[in-house]
Amino acid sequence: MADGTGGLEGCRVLVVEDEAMVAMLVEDILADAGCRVIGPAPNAEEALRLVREAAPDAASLDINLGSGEVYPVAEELASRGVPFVLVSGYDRENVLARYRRWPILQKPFTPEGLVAALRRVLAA
Amino acid sequence: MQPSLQSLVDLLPEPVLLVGRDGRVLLANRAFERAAGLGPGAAGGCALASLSATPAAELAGYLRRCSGTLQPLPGVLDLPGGTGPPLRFRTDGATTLGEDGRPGPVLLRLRAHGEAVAGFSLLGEQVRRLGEEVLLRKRAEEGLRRSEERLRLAVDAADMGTWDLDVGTGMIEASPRCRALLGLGADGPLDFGGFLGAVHRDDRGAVREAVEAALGAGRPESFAVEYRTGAGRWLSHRGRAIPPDGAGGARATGMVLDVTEERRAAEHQALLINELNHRVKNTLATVQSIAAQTRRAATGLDGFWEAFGARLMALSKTHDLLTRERWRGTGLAELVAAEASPYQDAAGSRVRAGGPVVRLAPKAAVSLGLALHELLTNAAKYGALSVPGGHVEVRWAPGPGGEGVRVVWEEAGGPPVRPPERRGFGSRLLERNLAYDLGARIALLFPPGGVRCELEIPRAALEGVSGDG
Repeated sequence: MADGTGGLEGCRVLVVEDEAMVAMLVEDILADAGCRVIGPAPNAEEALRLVREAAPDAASLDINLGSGEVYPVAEELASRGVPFVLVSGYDRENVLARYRRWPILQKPFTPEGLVAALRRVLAA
Repeated sequence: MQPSLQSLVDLLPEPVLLVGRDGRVLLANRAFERAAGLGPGAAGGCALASLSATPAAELAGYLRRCSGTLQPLPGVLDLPGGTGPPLRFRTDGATTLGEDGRPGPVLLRLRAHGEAVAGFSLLGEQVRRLGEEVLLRKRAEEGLRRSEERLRLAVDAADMGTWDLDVGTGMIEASPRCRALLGLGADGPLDFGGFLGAVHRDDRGAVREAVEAALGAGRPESFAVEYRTGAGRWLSHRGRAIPPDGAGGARATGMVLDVTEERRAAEHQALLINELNHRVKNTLATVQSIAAQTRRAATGLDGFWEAFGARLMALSKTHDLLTRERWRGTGLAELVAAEASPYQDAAGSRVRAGGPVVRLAPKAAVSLGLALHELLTNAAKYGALSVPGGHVEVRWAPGPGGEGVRVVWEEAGGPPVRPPERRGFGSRLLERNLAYDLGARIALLFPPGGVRCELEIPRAALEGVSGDG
């Protein structure tokens, strides 16, 4: 897509999302933007394994996973200098304060919104 | 301050006394005591006969006659005159009436020879008024006592504590309930600092501010503040600051009420609203995804619209079931029946479902509902439900080792089946989403006799085992 969803060609993006339908959507958006999708991972354990083994360039993290929250993954990514965007069905106020410097996308979000946020954190 | 009967009668210039039915003096004023040559209070309790020079029998007869009349009865009374002869007084005597209307002691008024009787009625009036006053005061006290009791009962029933702060001394008088609410001991002096010490550290500033602002207003000023105690209870503290006035120094008084339950209910409600919002947002994202996936597979706008609408209805049916049970979960039989309803006939012979009671967690139900819809749509388009004689069997039983549940979808009576050349959204959703959302193992098979789908749903996807993602 030549509109706002391009520009991430070849970028390896980890997707963490516990809802299969939403994960499928994120995957398709990222694939359309030229990314290589790592995952999707439905929980933090699987995501952490993928962070270590697949060394992503960036990540899209759903904050509330059925089994817990995604913060350990965010912590691990931050320590490795890997940028990420946060995705949540909750309000911004529910996001831990120290993670609010990262882009927070409210569900539902547009493909352009997700891609632009990823481009922004990758450029920073 | 109510004057005593004694002090009142002492003001009367003429000798006056109350004599009981036994002839003893109940009350005598100073004028009588002086006339009788006695010191203050010396007459009380003495038999009048012992104080008088009048023959005892004569005196007793006179007193008896007086006690039977409300009209002053004239008589005479001789008092010993010290060294001289006895002093003769003219008397007027009549009975007094008690509060119950029964005759009381005899009231005797002594006067010098020749004095008019008229004054007696004035004295009677004074005594009557005094009696009335005493009665009114008793009634007022009784009313106040009852009013206080009512207030105390209301305060107790409402589980309120009461408190009163003397600003000058900084001391607080707190009711036992107030102390208990604050987690303070039942006894011992309590000052404002001690009270603040019972307030949760984080709320002390706000409490101090509220009370000080009201006290600083310079006029009676109400304040209300809610705070936590050290023990974590929520208290509502309402009061009124009263600046110094003629009656005393500055004070603040009011009541304190435990509002922990109300607070919890409000917090719970906020949590529920937050969860509902989260659920709505997730559902919107799911619908967005369904639309996106449907669009990929659709050949035209009409095809998109039809498939998207049907998927939306499938999702909605699962939501209806879950809403009916407050999103705790739903039964597998109910889910199959709801999703199959558009394809079912009156006899229920097209989709034959059955198995033991299985309860699904909400997330598993949503995912399985969509998967069932894909299977049903496929059967209606290409499989057993696309011809009149075909039907689907959906049977379930406990999974391997009695863990979880094993579901088998089996089509029969349809056209011969050929494996699809391309996997569409339907099979992607089935195979991947069920694995992802339920941790289920799926086998989608295409034997010639009819499509067969085998699902092994783990225990974790059942209600009460896993949370709602």
